[in-house]
Amino acid sequence: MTTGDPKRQVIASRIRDARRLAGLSQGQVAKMLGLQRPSVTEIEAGNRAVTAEEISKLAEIFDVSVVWLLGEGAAQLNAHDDRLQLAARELQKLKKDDLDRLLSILASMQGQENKT
Amino acid sequence: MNIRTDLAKQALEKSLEIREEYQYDFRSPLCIYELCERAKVKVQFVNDVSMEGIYAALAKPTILLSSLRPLMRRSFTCAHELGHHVFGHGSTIDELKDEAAGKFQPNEFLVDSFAGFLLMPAQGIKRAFSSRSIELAKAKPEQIYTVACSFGVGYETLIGHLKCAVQYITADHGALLRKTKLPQIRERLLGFAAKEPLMIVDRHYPIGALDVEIGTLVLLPAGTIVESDHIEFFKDVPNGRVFRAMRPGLARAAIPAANWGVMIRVSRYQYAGLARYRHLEETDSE
Repeated sequence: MTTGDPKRQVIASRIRDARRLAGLSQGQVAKMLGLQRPSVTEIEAGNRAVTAEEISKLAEIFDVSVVWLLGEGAAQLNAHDDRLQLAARELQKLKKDDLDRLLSILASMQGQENKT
Repeated sequence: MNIRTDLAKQALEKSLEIREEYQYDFRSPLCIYELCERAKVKVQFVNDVSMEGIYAALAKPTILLSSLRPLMRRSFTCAHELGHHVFGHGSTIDELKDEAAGKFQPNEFLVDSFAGFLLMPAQGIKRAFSSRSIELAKAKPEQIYTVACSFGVGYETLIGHLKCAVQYITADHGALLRKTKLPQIRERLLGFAAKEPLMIVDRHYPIGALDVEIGTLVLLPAGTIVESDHIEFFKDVPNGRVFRAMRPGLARAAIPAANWGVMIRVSRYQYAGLARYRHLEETDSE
């Protein structure tokens, strides 16, 4: 993959979104990965490739699925997805913007299993 | 048996079962976020969705909580959402409480009761009052507030539990307590008016750690020393020493001569992120 590679850009963007969702700064993530902060900045800008080991570690840090970080799956979960078991009456409780945001957050967990 | 009594009984039994399963005793306060971690339920705070909490019944069960709600409300909501998980309810959205008020909903009553018994076990409540030499039937608002802090729940939440669930106070006493509002309680405890949230930690505080967020005032016993810049000394008052939470991280507060201490965990104000990182320190490169 090269810097302009769309796949790398998707991965970079998902890493940035997942980091923000986890409440972490680039500096905190860099410390957890044993990197310097600029390395994380470069990863999130799509300027630096991420190794399989780093992806796995990032998924663990952010508590999201590896599959989603790699750019698979939709950016937003379908409210009627059977896996969500969300009854129609529940959907009516949120405004559209709030529901969209909720489904975006939950999308990062697609494919994530509860490890024992 | 009436439906509420039956549901409350189920809730009580489940709360004890969960405490046992995750190795908590039947009377101590617990940190709900730590329990969720043990139960492999992900807890995520968000500050841009208008709601109290959401339980998402995914392969990795997830609870979303609004960090725009008061700190102690979040704990109760988390226990409520955990209730949806342990009772096997599907994904559930809990609206802001004011908007949700209305007709009786059995599942909501069940998980509210579960949250109450889980966070405020009956045996623990009795001990909390007796260890402070407070007669429950005559407890004053400041005393109720102090005990509520020790369980990490709100003042009104504890009153509701004492009146309805464990029935340790009468309806009249509960109504009287509710007349005293939080600003008055803060002023009586601190000796000055304060708009900021207040957390009380006395010498009977039963667990080793408490959560606050930046800006929260913490009233600690007289003689307490804090060697950390995460919380800052504010002033001495007749009831103890007042500190203010300043930046994320851990602060140890102790009275060395009395062999007493507590860990204060400070998070960002209205923190959005995973519960496990809520009091993570900022790095030097921020």
